[in-house]
Amino acid sequence: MMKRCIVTAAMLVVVASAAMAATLSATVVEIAGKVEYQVPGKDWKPAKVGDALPKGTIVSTGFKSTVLLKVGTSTVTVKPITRLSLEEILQTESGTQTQLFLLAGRVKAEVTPQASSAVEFQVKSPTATASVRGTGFEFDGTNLLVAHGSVQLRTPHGMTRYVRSGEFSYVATNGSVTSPAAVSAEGGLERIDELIDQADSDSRVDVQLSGAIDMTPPTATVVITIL
Amino acid sequence: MNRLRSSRTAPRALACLALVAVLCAGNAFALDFGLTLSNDSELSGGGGLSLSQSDSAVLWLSLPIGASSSIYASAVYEFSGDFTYLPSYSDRVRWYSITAGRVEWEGFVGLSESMGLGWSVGRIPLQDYSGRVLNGLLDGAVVRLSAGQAIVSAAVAYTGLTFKDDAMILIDADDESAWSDDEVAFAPRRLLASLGLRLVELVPFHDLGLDGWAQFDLAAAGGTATHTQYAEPFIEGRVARSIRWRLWGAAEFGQDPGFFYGMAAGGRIRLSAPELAGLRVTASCAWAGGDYDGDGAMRAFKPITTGSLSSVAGTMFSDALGASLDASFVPLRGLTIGAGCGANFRPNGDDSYLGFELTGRVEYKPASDVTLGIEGGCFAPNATADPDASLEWMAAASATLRL
Repeated sequence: MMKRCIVTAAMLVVVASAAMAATLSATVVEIAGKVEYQVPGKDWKPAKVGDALPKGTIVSTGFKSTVLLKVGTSTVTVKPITRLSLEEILQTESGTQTQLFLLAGRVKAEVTPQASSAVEFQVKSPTATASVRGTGFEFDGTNLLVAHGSVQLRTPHGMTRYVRSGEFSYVATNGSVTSPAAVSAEGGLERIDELIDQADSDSRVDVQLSGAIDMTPPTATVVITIL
Repeated sequence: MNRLRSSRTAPRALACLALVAVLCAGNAFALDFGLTLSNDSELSGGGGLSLSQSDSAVLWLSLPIGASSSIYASAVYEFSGDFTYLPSYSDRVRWYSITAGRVEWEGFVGLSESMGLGWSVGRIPLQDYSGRVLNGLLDGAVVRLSAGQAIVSAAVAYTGLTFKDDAMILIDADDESAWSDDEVAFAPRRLLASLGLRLVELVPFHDLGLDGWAQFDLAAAGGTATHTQYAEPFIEGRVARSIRWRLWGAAEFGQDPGFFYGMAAGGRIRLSAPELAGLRVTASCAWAGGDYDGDGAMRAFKPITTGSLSSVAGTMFSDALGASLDASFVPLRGLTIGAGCGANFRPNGDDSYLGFELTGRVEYKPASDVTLGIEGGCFAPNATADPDASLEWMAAASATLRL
């Protein structure tokens, strides 16, 4: 009798936990241009405002196209020529957990903190992971610009730096996270060359190499290497 | 400056480009290349009026090799001329030189979930933390092991294939003799090795580290071998969003064959206010110790590559102290205006104050591929210490086009 009670109680706990950790979906709020998505096991289809995108959905945007998604209490703007996978959108007793995987392109996220529950929000890429709690930032898998709040930028090999409001950091080709630089968030990652210049000038030594030597690696190389 | 270059390195540059061209065959779709054209003109006065003119073209290409590495190669064509308006000096004009620029195979691979290995091999930029001990484009290799918040790096390099006026190696009397010999084109033969550790944000928002460098004199035949080693601890970080600072020290140990040592240190603090037209104010200080103990083991600090403390005056970073303040802002997108001032001292001398320098600069980037710049400055030497010294000044203009 005692054993049956314990088993029943355990089952109730499991069922209750499952009920508490409900899987949410992202909702399409705004669309500009050509936006498509693919639910796991199904074909690609054009996105429409109001569509619910479940876990595992891949969102793709074309040239000059964007889509605004509402994920729990947060919003994500998927920028042009981006492919984004919705890895996890979970509502637990303690709060919401969102995990996105950026296959290519760029996203801008606005994570709204909740007074009564925690919001865990992660955007991963092959190069780095941006983890936040209550912040706004722009991330393209390599470069991170934080508008407000604080973001933890972490490489796959465990190097971590905290990037705060009004700061920019990126993952260098040698795999390290650069020391964040104070920058203007105006213009976002569109002016990536200027942001990298500013970040590099902060970490640069005072003595410059002279002579006709092109020391600036072409931006295209960085992009090719990382993607 | 007496710059010596020749076309002797042309075959080497061409061989590098040929190697890259072969590799391109399999990766042509990913090939990236360009041409950078630059003009630099500088008029300077003081002891006499002189005009320095340099025009260069840098052809570069870049391509990925596999998924985790890439090659960058560049070749440099340069015309240069130094025209001095003094009867006792003759003009120096070098109509052309073709040399290898930066040639680098770099990559990064993950070894495990918590470890990654990066490398860079070729003619690569090498520098210590401060850039005061070693700073140059040298032939060698660097490996960096990233493990969590730690980066361990090791490097080896050889200086004997670099032009002496690019390497600026003036460690002992043999080096100075070679420097003043017009028949010698290449830098003294030295083998360099380094080991470094950086701990990223070990203290919140601060990095700590230690750089170790050693140079071994390979040109002892007929002269005295001078070996030196350097230990350079450093700390850098940011206080709030707007203030960044760094502090470093360097201890030099040497054998020639007697033991000697030297000291150096420096620091920088920078205030950044991007919202105030990109305002940046930087205060910095660098000190290279002198021979403070007479016949003792202490000597004037000698870095591996010699650098200057100031833009106009040629105060070398050895037995000298420099303090400077610099400010720049961006009133319009692409336009940067800056000004600076600084004072140089020689603490070991009878009259330690050397002089004061003022500089100004304007840089304009009307497009991402075009950069135009003008700068000027003057150095007022201490007339008490040297009554014959006169005001030194310079005005320079530059233009760069990237195609």
